[in-house]
Amino acid sequence: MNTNYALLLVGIPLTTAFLLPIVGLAGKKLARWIAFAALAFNFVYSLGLLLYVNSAGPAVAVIGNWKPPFGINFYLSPLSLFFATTIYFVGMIVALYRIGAETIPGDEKLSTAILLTVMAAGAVVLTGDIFNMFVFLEILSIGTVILVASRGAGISFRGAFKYIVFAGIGTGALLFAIGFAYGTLGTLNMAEIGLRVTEINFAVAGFIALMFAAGLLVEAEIFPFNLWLPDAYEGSFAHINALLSGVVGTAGVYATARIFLTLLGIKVSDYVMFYGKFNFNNILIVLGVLTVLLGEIAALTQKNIKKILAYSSAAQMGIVLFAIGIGTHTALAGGVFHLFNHAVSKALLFVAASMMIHKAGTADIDELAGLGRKSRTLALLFGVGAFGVIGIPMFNGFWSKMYVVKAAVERGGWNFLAVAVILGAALAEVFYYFRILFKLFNPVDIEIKNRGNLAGYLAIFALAAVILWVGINPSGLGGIINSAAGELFDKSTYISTVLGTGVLQ
Amino acid sequence: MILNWLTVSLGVALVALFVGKRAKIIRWTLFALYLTFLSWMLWTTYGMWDYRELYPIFSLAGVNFYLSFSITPLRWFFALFTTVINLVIAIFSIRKNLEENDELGIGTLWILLAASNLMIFVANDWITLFIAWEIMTWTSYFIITPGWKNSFRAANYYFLLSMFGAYSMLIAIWWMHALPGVNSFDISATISAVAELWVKSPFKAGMILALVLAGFLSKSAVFPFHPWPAEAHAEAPDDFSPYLSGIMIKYGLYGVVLFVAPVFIKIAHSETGSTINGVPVYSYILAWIGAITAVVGTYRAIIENDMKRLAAWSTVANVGYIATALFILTPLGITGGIFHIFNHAIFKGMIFLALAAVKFRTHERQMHRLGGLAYKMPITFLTFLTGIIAAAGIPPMNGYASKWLIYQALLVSKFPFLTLMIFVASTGAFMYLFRALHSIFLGQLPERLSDVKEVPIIMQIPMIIGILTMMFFGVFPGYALKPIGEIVSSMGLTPIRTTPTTMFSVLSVVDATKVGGMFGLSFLIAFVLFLVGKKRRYVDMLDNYTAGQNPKDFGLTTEMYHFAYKFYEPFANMFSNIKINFKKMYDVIAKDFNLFGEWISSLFDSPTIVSTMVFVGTIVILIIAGWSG
Repeated sequence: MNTNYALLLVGIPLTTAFLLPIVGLAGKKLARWIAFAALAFNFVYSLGLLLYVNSAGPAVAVIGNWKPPFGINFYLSPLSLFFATTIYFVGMIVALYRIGAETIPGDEKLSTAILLTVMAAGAVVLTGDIFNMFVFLEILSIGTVILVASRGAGISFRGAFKYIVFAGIGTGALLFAIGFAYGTLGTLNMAEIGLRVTEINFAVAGFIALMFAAGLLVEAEIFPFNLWLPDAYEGSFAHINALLSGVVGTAGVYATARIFLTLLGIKVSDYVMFYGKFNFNNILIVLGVLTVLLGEIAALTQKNIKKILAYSSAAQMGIVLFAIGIGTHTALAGGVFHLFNHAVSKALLFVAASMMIHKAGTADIDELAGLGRKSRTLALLFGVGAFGVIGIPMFNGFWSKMYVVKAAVERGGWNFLAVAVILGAALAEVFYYFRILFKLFNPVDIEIKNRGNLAGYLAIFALAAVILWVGINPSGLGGIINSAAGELFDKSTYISTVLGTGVLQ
Repeated sequence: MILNWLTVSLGVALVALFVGKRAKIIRWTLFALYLTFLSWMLWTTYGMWDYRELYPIFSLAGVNFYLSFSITPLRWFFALFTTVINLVIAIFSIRKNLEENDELGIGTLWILLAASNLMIFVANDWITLFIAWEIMTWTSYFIITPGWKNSFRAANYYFLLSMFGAYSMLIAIWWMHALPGVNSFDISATISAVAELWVKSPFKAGMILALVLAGFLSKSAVFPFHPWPAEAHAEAPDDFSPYLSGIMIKYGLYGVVLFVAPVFIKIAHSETGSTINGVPVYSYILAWIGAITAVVGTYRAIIENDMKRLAAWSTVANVGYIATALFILTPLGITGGIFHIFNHAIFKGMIFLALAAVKFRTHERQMHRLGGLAYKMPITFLTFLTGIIAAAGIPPMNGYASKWLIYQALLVSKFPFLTLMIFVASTGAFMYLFRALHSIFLGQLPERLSDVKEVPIIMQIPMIIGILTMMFFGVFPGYALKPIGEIVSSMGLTPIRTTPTTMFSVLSVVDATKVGGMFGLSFLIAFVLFLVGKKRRYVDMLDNYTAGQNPKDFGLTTEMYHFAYKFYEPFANMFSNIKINFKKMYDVIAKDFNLFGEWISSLFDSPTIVSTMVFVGTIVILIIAGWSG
């Protein structure tokens, strides 16, 4: 299998994205079908690649025949392809939902933005070049701004503006970090930076790591870099939020893990990230726990279903960051697994919420009361997503949260307190999800303003099937997650695959 | 085998979900049939004490998750009696739910709940137990509140306390998993590991036990988790309350028998750390917590006016007795505790069924609005009467036998003050039980209720079964004590000596049949006296309260004859200075959380310039923190 064709994962959606405005002249619906087809191709192809590398081992896709570390390369491993597949899957599901949804003015342009965002997020995950990652992150944030603003309400522009300010400062910091790394090491290749990171002196390395954190944690929705979150989520369409959380957030957390563990981790197999006074393990743990705590408690007081899900999404990202901060193999397995589970469950929740908002004409959970009695399937599927996020046994989130708890308890010490705080916050989470479900089944009469669409039901059925399949038979994913976590835990495979040498100090 | 029984429930639940609203009777009959099937299958497994089932589900990063089931005397006994009682309740539900609107979700979830109930009892490792525990928690939550506003508020106390407990348990499970030499979720392995850890580090072992106990005792509503039954049991669907109060509240106590008591017994045998009369100090403290629960529950039941809340508080009190008996750790204590778990499940189930029957016909829960129903609903009255006789521990009903054992256990182990507490609580039980009987079934029948009829025959059948069962185990306690004896010997203790009718303790011996016979005889004599007595005049129910005066002169209506409102007001006034209210405490915590949440979301909603300053400020602070020094 020639893995160089993996570049199609960027090429196809990028070409399609810029063709769509022309196709849109022929028919808005046609543009949606084509966007769906492009993302479906991406999903199927990256799934195929994932299965291939899972058996044959990681591979590198080289661009323009410039071998790394000189040219840009894509790194294809169980970890990167697992998340690329997840991202394309969520993107495909949203595109599928949009096939049946009502058209809006400038619809084909929104499809373009979706394709760009998903393409960029996938490329952030796959790329092996740090500057390339920066470029794709820029595309990602611009795409996100378009997505948020596309709803056209006052709050959309406010959210989009807030996001662009945050993302602007973040990518600025990122450029700083990349500049420093390039200035010190003279390379932009991630594997080579990972190999030679100990050559950087501790003060500069600490600063680089901090700048990376400032840049990446904006996309990863980590407090206090996530203050853009509620406005942007409230401002955009609910199904677009599935992209914000399942695509942008996933790419952000993946990039954080990759940069902190593979690039900046000092020791092989034991990623203690100390740089002078900076202990990034602890910084990540503290930020993660803060995000979980504040996110869950803030979600408790919200009435708007989109904002509730937004805060919840931040909190789940906090759990993953906490796992990354702990940094053991178990923790990383839990984190990787949870990131996947969250992307799938939250996509289901947002798409289902979008359908509920469309049906009832409101996003206020008090006014959605009684909807579950009118459209039972929709409410039950929303429940499946909620159970998945909460981590009820036999739903996907259960297994990943189990591993995070195990890792924290194993490390002991302050992690004990941290996991207690996280579980305490999870109480709030269980409560507000169950409150939504309870309200949906209130014996209140509600007027159904619009009918649901078949494509939307198909989309959420597919997501629910994934949630239940992973929940009941998690061993189906076990192998991939194990090798993905192993790759994060031990960077030597990454470096030796890309650079073709096994030399590590 | 067991996994198949459990998977059948999924199929049954699916069928129940799709038969829709029109065929209610099919759904509930299916439920009863499924329970019959389970009961029969469990009955046939008696004696298969080596039976094991193991199914790998997930294995990652060196941790292997299994679903594993086993049958031991303890597991078999609990699984069987809970399933059979559930079956009896389900027969009642068939007719009761024909007139309900929200029974679709309730029925479907209850089928899953029944399966998870079985799974809790046959679980052989912590993960299986935890999975079953969580399924039980969420299904019961949505049964208690299928969208109803009142029960939502009520169920939240139950749910949040349960989830708090479950999460504590989760930390403990992983902690035990990480103990040296365990590396599995096997319950018996963790028992010895925790007992060994006790020798090295009592603090760590104590923390593990505290976390596990938080899970178990929050489910069983032991002090300070006691406020939830009064809310949840009262607001739950009427036919679900018997299940909630009779069976579900025992899961935590089952956990105590399964895990906590064996650990304490091991600790007591290893003779490390201080003990009081042979009981480890922690266990002794827990016995006191049980006694406090009993007293608090009794007091709250006495001053309650809502009949379902009264019964719920009575459950709290009974859980207190059981906890006290179990934490004494002697064979007598454990036997008495388990026997009372069994008996309480029957009599409290029957009391709640009788209340459900009353509510089915009258739609009333406030006791002062009821009265004089004894003649209108004789079978219900008899059920309630038998139930409260059993609850008060009067022979010849089953509650007597287990309470006798509990007192014996406390006295034999020389705990006079604990005995006193239990005695106070038990005496208080007379006060509220009689009050409930009087207010609902005796006294004057309000005119509103003059055309109330007895419940349909299908709903009477379970109640009649209940009456007979309560009498049977009151007269022949040995038939329940035999399997309980096997449980006690499987825990490594010497079971107490029993015959089908006689219970032996160190202090005394009681032949339940003789005691029951004496009562039967005295009833017979009273009946003979009644027959041979002077001819009597039958008067109208309202005739005997006015002493010949015309109540209209005093502005009274017949509705107001019935003395039931604020029945124990003087008693309540005696204790009105006590202001400790745990429910309020939980309310305040919830409110503070909400305020904090509003503050946080105001931070998130702040203008762009402010949030940008927070963002940049954080980076600057981190840089400065790393720079200095």
